[in-house]
Amino acid sequence: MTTNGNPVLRVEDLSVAFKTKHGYAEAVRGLSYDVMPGESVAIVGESGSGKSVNALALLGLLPRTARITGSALFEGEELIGMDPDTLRKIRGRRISMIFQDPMTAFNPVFTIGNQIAEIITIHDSSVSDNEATKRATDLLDLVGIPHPERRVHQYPHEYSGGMRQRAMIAMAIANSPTLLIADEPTTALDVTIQAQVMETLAAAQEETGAAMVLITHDLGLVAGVADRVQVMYGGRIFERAETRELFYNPINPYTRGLIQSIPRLNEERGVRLNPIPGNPPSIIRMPKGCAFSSRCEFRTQVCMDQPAELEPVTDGHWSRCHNTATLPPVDDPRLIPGGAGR
Amino acid sequence: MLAYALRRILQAIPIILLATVIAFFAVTWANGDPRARLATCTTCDESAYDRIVELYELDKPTYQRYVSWLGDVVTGDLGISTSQGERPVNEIFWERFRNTLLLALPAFVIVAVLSLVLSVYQAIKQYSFGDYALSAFSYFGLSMPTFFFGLVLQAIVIQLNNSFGWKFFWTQGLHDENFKELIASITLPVLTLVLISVAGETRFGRASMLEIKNSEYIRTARAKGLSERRVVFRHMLRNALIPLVTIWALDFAALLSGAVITESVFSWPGLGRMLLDGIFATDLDVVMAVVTALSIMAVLFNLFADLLYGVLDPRIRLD
Amino acid sequence: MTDLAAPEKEAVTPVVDIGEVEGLSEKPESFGRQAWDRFRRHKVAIAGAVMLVLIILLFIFAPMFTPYAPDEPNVLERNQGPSLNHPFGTDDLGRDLMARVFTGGRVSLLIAFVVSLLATTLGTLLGAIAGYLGGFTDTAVSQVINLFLAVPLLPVLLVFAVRFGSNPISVALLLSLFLWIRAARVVRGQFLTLKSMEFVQAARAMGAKPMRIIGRHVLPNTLGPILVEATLLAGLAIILESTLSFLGLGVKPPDTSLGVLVDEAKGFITDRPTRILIPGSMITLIVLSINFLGDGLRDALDPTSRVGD
Repeated sequence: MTTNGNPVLRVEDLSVAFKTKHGYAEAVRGLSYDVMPGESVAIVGESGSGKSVNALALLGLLPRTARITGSALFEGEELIGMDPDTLRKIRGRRISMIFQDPMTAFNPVFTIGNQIAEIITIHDSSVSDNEATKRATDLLDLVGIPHPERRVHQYPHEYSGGMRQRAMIAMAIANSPTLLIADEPTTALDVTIQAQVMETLAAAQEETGAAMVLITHDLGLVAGVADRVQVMYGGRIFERAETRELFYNPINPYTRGLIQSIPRLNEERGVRLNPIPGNPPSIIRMPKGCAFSSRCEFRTQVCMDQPAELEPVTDGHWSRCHNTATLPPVDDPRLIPGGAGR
Repeated sequence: MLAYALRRILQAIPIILLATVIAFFAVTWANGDPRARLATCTTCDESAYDRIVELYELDKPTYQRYVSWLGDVVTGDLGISTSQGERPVNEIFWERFRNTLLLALPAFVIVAVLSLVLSVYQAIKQYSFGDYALSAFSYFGLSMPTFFFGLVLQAIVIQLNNSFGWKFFWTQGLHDENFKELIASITLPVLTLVLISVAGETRFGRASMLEIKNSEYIRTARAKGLSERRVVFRHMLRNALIPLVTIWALDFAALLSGAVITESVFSWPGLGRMLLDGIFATDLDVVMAVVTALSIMAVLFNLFADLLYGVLDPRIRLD
Repeated sequence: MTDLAAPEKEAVTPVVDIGEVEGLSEKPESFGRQAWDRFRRHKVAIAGAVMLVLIILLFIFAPMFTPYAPDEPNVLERNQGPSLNHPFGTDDLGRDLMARVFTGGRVSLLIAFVVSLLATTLGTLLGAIAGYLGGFTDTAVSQVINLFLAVPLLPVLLVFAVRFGSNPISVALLLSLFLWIRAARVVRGQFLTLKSMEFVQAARAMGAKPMRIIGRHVLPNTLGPILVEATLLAGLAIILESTLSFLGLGVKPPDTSLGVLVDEAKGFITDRPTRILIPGSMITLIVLSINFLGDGLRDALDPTSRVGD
């Protein structure tokens, strides 16, 4: 449901590097993407691909040692290099973030209600504490927490993991932000809870009409939720397409590898999983050529020598590969869309 | 929580009893017989000898004497001092206890405030010049024996006093004629106690604050758009208080028993001097009073620390 | 964590999701090699080690620096300040203070070494037995540990010291008697943790004998913390020894130690403050070096550690 008009978020040529004793380690390298109003964009990648660093960079939550260059326009305002106080007023109000581990993301010494109320009163001083707590209760109700009027006065350790993540979602939408960034929102949860929390997240997004950036390593998770998917590897986008298109017609060898390594229940017996061999490259020793070249079964000499560019293949479908034209067609029966909960 | 506290106190009683048993036997056994001292005393006569024997029940075996000492203590009678003109130990004890509190209380307050402020500062300004300077300072505080620091302070003030011909601070003894004199006499010993405690606590506090600073819920707090001030003073500090308050409680007990050294350096008539004098004079009831009191203090403040932990940390339930 | 150490630590990016920076990890190196690398970069620890070695060498070769015997009085040169003849001055009997500081320092270091060795060995044995056997043994050892922890160390130590303290060996034995619990606690805790770890359980499931499990799996992992504890214990021993001696309850003349030297100089604080300053600074310097070394070892051997108690 791509909407026309101006994007909520336009990231252009964003790079993030960390100073290490071996020089700068580039976690994000020249990243560019748009997020349209109300749209869900998934960023998929393995750990170390730079997907989370990108989000933290937008919100100014990286340590000062990080070197951030490029541009990120949020509703027309430049976030990179923005005055910290102005950026602070955007955080939690117009852009909200949901973190991976709900066990550690809540402050253990304050009640859940207190922490949700805080995000409301901090951005709108006209709201009284009582009102804010009342609204926190309503929000907990909205994300499906039973007995919210009792739960609102409980501490994080009294919540289960799934409930905490719901509470985190409630906190994120408390100020009706225009952009939600969910960083691995279900990774720390039990598989049985993941689907429920994803539904809650989708419902919360619907409720507020916010655009969403969903960051995950789990390609199976995005199928039912995201409108568009971009696959990141080694700090760069390797493929970008609408979700259905990406699943039905993955172009990039890395994406194909990712999809082939998803296990499925309705699998014919005897079909083996097909993991990608090797490990992601170290971000302090990026290969000279294409970052994926060392693991790619289709690599040619040019892959080793120079990095590939992200190029449009069909309308709205981009891929970063030297060999797009010569890759074999997609015929693996495995390459069919999966459900939301894997 | 009351039930928990009661149970803990009940559990502590055998520990305290065992401590007193060990101390009692150690003193009687290690220091020998007070009669031996009397035997070498040329001015004492036979009747004094008999009285001491009776007073201390020296004709009975040690365990019986312990039981009878314990019976007296439970009824609030700490015994009689042999070295201080047969004064009741109760009388000496409370006077000395007050004097020790004169040092320990101000030192405690200063240490608490200072360690809190410094740990917050060091954690926020990590790797700054101030952070390094304070870390270096804590290293010195932890490596310098208390008596040496006390003597250095004393030496400096003596030189100052002499070269200006005017008394800034007292370097010896307790002077409580008026408030000004009192302040002038507690300053150096309190400063000594402060330096020794604040070094360790700041190191500990800084580590706790840093751990909290790098925790995920602080990132969440920032992501919520809280001001840096609110992140530090509400979210970080409230969490840092949990370990710090516990350390403070333990430290207070340590200040009381650690005052032995400071009191010795500054000739301060407190519990520590009382203990030392008692040890040197083989004054059993005096030594036992101090050791028992300090053991009870240590146990009580240990319990107090745990209770505070339960109050401050909602994750802990004491029952 | 002793962040006095190295500014390189700035490179670590704490707020970043570890998973995201995992790419930073390089080819795995052996634990010993990593530990040595971390230790070597720990400038403060290196400084501590170097300082300690220098001090020890100084004490050992002390007689080469001074022609005077430590216990040789000279009525003509009493209470002198530092001079070319007597760089540290002389005491009230005219004995050369440099010779005395070196001799006293040797005694203090010796006591520290013995205490560290004895208390660590005893604590390690008892802690390991308690941690490994569990059950009644563990309860018994833990109760003794609790007793020691509940009772204020210094007052009880003083009560015992009046009888025991007198020569360096008895002071060392007394301190060991009180300090073994620290090592025992560390080792017992390590054993309990390691016992529940999967690799030890796996070894046990495969039928490895208890001694083999301890020898091959548990001890190597416990060695680091024991080493750190032994080092820091040496520092604590020096402080306690000098404190006891200063109070007149530790080493007593004619034996001497750094604490005894300060005690002897107490009465001369107005006229000859250097007599206090020199041995006192020596104590501080030794303990400082030991603490630097200990913290460096801790950081090197256990990268997750932050600060000791």
